[in-house]
Amino acid sequence: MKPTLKGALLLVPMLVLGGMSLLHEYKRNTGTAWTVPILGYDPRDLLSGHYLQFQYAWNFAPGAAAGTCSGEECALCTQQAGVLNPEVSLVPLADAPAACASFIAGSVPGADLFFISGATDNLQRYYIPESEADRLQQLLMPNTTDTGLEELPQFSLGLRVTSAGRAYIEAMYVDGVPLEDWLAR
Amino acid sequence: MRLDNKLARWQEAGLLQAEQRSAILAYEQQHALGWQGGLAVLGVLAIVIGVLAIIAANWQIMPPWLKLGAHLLLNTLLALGVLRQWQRPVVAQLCLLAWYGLTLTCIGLMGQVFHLAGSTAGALLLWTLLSSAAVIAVGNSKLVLLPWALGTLVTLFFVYAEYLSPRLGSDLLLPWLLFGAMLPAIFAMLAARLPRPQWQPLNQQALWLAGLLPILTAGIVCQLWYFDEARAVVAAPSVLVATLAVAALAVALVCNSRIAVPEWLDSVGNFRLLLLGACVLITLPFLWSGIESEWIAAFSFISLWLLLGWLGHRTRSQRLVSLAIGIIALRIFIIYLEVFGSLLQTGFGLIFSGALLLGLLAFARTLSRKVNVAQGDGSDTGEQP
Repeated sequence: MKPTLKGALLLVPMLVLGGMSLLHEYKRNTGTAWTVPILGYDPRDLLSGHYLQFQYAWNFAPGAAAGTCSGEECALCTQQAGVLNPEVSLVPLADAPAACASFIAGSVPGADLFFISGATDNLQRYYIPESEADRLQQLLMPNTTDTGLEELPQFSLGLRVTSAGRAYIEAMYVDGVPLEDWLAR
Repeated sequence: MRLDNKLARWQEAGLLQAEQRSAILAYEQQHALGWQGGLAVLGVLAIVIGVLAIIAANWQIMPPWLKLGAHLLLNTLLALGVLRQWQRPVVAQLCLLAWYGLTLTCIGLMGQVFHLAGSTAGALLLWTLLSSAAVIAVGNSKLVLLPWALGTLVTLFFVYAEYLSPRLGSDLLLPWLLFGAMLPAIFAMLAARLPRPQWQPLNQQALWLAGLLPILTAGIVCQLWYFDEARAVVAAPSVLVATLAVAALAVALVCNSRIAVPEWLDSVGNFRLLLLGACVLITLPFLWSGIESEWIAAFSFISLWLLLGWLGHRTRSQRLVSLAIGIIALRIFIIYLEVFGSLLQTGFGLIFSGALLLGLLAFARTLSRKVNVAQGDGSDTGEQP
């Protein structure tokens, strides 16, 4: 086998991974910005390994109901893109491009307002440093008031949403400060 | 016994010249792994696991872009190390082993940096797809090939569990079974197309599985004739398409004259017969999914072992013939237990089973005698000056 072919076989995977990284970085830095508060949703299983799991505290518009859309082909729609915690409603995915300033495609599996983004549940994991895992777990747990802290920090997640309705995690914020900076304080 | 002792004995017996002995020893010293190579493999594995652990710890001193860039640079340097001409070729193989492992850790790091929540199966599949071509093309030592084979099998397992298992029982059982039975044969064919002596360990394992797995799968699937619920799955068009695709693969494999053959099957013709027979026996219960019959279950299982007995006869393997007859006899005994209930029926059943067993015994003795005679002829011929 020619050395050039061998070299190509060995280097192409690195180029592919590098390209994928650049693509993810591009998507993370473009698109419409959404910043949404989050809550820990299961204290017993909040951390698995070293990532945080959470649920979004969507700011549903008054009168919004899951009945307006349910099943696989739904979208979370907002007219207030770019603001903190934008007001959202559920609409059928087919109507979303025309009806919304920005939307996240996903599904509504039940009768309540529980929205799952994307074809798979891919926006509910945020990797954190091993050394900070315990502290962050405590702070994100809903019953942290029992620990005696005077005021709970507010966690939120910055998303970037493409015009096709695909969302990417940009950063996690604690009291409006990026998590990495907040940890460094 | 150590190699140099063996070579000394062969030289004394006049089988080797002194120059040949020296050349063999020099070659082995250059290519053999030895204890130093063993330590080097351990070192590479320790580095790969160490990188994995650091990534898992999400080391925050380095910014994400630097971690990702450094990892990609490390992999690129290893790729260059694979391509470089080393005095000891094993160094290039160690670089390849590290490159292979660190490609997986790089995918893990990418998922962490961008907070991707993809499945383990997806990451493993990407790893196998990206790295397999290079490993197959450049790897020439079992210290790379065996980890790669293990990694590929682990990937297949996760892909099965993540993507296929949720659908099995509804519509993908038949194609998956056929594919599973054919997989070692695919490896065997690949091995035959790359006839390099360095591939022998992998080659032999793949070939051994290539013969064994269709038998095991067919033997298990024959029992599905007992249960019709497990087989009412072939109505969906996608299943028929998938099944046809796998069947086409099977036909392509067995018609390929360059396919490697498991040693105990002796010839391509025998291998074709085994693969086709197994595929037919795997497919039949699904084609007639409404039929539930212990008789057909027994008959199809016995057919499989008759086929194996016949192959044993063709390959002059007395052990295979004896094994086939023993298993057929056992299966017939199970039929008797299943079918005959009352005393009268039990009596007839025992007489019938006994007669059948005696008949099989006579058949086995005749067959064994023929095999022995054929083997004796072969050895006599071999001893002629």
